[in-house]
Amino acid sequence: MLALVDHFSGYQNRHVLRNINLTITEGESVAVVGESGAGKSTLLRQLYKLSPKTIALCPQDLGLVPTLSAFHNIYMGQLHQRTPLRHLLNLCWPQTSAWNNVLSIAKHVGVQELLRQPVASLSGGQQQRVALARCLLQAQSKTVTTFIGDEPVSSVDQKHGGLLLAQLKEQFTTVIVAIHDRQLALQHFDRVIGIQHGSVVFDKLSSTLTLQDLSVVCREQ
Amino acid sequence: MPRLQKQESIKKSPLSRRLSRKIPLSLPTKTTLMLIGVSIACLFYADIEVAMTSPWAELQRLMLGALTPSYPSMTELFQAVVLTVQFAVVGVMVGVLFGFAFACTYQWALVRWFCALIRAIHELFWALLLIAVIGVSPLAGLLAIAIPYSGIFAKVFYEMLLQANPAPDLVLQEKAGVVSRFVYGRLSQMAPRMARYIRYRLECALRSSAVLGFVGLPTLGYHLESAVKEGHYSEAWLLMYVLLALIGSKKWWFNRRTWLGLTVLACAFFPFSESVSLQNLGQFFTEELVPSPLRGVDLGGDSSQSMFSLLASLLLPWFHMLWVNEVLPGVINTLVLTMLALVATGVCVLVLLPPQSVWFAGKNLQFVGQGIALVVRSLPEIVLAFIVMLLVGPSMLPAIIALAVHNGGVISHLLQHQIDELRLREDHPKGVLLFCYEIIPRISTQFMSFWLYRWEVIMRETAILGLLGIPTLGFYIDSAFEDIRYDRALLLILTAAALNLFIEALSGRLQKKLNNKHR
Repeated sequence: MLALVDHFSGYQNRHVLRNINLTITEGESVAVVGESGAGKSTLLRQLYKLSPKTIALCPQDLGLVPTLSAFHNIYMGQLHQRTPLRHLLNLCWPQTSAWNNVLSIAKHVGVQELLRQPVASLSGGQQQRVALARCLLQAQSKTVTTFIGDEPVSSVDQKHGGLLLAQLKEQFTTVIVAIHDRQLALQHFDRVIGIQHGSVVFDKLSSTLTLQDLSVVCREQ
Repeated sequence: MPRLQKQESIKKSPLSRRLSRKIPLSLPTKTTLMLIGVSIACLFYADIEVAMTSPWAELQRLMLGALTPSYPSMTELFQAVVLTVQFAVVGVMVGVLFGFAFACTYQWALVRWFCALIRAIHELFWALLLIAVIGVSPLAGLLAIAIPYSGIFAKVFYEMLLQANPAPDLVLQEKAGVVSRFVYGRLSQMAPRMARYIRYRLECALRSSAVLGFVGLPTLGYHLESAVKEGHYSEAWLLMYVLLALIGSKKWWFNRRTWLGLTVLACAFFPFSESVSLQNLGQFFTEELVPSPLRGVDLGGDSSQSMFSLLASLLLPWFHMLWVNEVLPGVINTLVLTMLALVATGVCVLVLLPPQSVWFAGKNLQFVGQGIALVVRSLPEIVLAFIVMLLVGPSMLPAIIALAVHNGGVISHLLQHQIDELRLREDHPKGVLLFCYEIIPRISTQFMSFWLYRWEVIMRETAILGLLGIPTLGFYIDSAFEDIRYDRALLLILTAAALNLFIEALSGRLQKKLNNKHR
């Protein structure tokens, strides 16, 4: 369970988040909607800090290492396991077991053909898929049960975005995602939280919401 | 799908599967592996024996000296400091003047080649040559810095002016004269960068100036050499502290407010005419620089055909003898030492970088790490080599250690700023894995370009470490000067220059390839 109680964050005079009260229980899938600059990213980061050991994070800038191959970037999801020598060996000379494991994950997000290429040479959508694969690899460890993503499917079209979100929901018990696509937010998530000027405007089950309700906090589209 | 097919074929033979790389090597990795391979081959030729049996006793005395710095004659010390600063300031300023003039005419191939040649010859070799021509005089030291530095300034200024935004120049076209267009349109844009570069070069010049002491000019290095040779470590340490303080405090005594006054003062009190002897100037060029078998031979009179064969019959044996005994071993040793020092530099960067960075070190460790990097990059390589030699005896080892530590300090300092500004994801790995998976891959291009640039620098310095007895080209050059065989010295110096030009071109090509790949 992740909970923020009367939470403020930001600088002394300028609060990015104001008086947030939020509880997310295990098994929920939550979409966070709001205009850019509303405080979505900050909210997600605060949630992540509550329990970094159990959460796989996909930041907005993806955090990929451009000079390394897609394989290595996905493999980095495994680095918290305590076998540093094996990790160094795989950096220089990928072992077959590690390769096959990464390959199976890569197939889920459709980047199995790109594993040999440096990430810098991939398109924005492909890079996003690689970053998601890194998170999916973390889900293999029993302790990691939650996914937090900041616009994780923004560079992918709606149909494929939906497929990727379905993958995430299958692999993680709890999924929390900032998203600007209102339709995806309503279709794929149980609960939708609207953020405006750093405060929660609404926090409802998606079955009770319509696209019009969401337009209160996101003007785009 | 070719890739999938490839995997299937691999599955058939387990051995080839084990040997095949799943991921092609990146260009920086390939280049690094190539350089390491070459240097391993060099290891077989290298003389890296530890000759001293009890380095600890010497180390103890050395450390004691570090804690008890002292100097007997303050006047002597003061004179050495003044001369060191004078050489550096006046040398740099003269270099700037000529360098700027050359930069303006750099599009002419002749000027380009001339500048490449004069900067390919090390300050110390210039000093040896000039001392041979005009005697051990301050003027020789001044010119020894000014000449190669004008070649360096010419190239750097020219490249900076090319990078200026051409728009202001275009606006002024047809409306202003050539000079005002240049000054308002280009120079004014680049002046701050040029000033910054001059300030950086002054730091190098201070080191060069101190090192000129090793060939007999009474700067800090002169007293340092004799103090170390006589085992007066307290004196040696004080001199090193003074040099470090001079370089460390540079921004307070050489800045936009003081530079003009300082230059005027340094020029006004410069002993230009002191002990300059021009008597053997004519003889030097007409006789001593002429290859020895040709001296006194009457080349006129005969027909041109026989003159040519006469020249060949006289010169070839001389050249052959030099080639076998001095040029070839000198070149091989220089190259071997350069390659080993280059790879060792890379290792040093990897060791020196983490303790300087916020990612790996706390405040205290960072302070220590940055302090060590500051000291090793402020002391000239030849001084470091001199100290290490006391501990491990004369071989290539002290030279390798000195070059690696000094250049490792320079590169790691430049990289530290870069990695501290990196923004990594929240859940980045820690420690060794952070270093290998995130930091090194992210800065690999920048690392390679600094490293390859330092290749040229190491090459230049390698040659002069010969003055300490390591048989690089510098060793043979120094001996030729000692034996007053200037013809040999000139040939060897030109060989060293050619070698520098070759490495400069090679590293330039590699850098270009790496940068293009990344854009």
